[in-house]
Amino acid sequence: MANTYKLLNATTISSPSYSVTISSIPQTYTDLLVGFSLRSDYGSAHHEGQFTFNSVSTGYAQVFLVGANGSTNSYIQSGQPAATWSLAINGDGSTANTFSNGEIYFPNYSSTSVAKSWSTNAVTENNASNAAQFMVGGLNTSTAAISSLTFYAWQSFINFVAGSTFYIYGIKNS
Amino acid sequence: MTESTPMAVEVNCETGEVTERPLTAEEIAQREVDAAAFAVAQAEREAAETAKAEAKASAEAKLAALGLTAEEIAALTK
Repeated sequence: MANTYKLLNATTISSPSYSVTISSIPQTYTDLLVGFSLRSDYGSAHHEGQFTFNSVSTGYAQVFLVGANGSTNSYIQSGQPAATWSLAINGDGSTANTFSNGEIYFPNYSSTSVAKSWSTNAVTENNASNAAQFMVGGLNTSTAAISSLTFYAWQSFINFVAGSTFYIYGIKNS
Repeated sequence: MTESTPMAVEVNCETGEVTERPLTAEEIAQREVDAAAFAVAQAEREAAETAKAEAKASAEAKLAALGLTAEEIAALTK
């Protein structure tokens, strides 16, 4: 059980940005936690965003639990796309100056012998009923240690807006 | 939305150095392919959910036509 959390990096975006890459992630921890607080310039109240690790562009398996606007659904992503949809993001249609918040947990991120897994637990904010709750379980067969993460707001010309923040924590069990 | 070349932020986690650059054409093209694939998957999921709900409603209507009460139908579908 983890009992140490060390903040390795906190990055707040200062201008609209399509992607954020965190590289040279230290390999001296057992688990990795990514905290995020995000908003985009897309016109909806909320939407999902992507990430990849180590520039791996295939084989992201994932299951979703999604709640929004009074309904809940669960589903399995068909196929195994080139990135995982594991971010929840406030869109431009949500209350001004509000951001989503959530975290992604990577156990054994520095292992070089096991497939990589992660879980996301996140919500979006809105001073109206149309806010989202979002949980994802993901897997990729890559056994390489995770040394970089790239986050994407969505398709081209949709950006993370200024104030969006990523926090990277390293976790040890001693 | 900002209709200009998307920018990428790159952060070195060890040094804290932050750089910004425009996305390459290849990166933009790949993201568009991914987004299109996801839109297809979402449409498939929504269609399946709609079909399931319609089938359930149809089955319940047929049971009601046979004389089952709402409570009896609910007991069958739990």
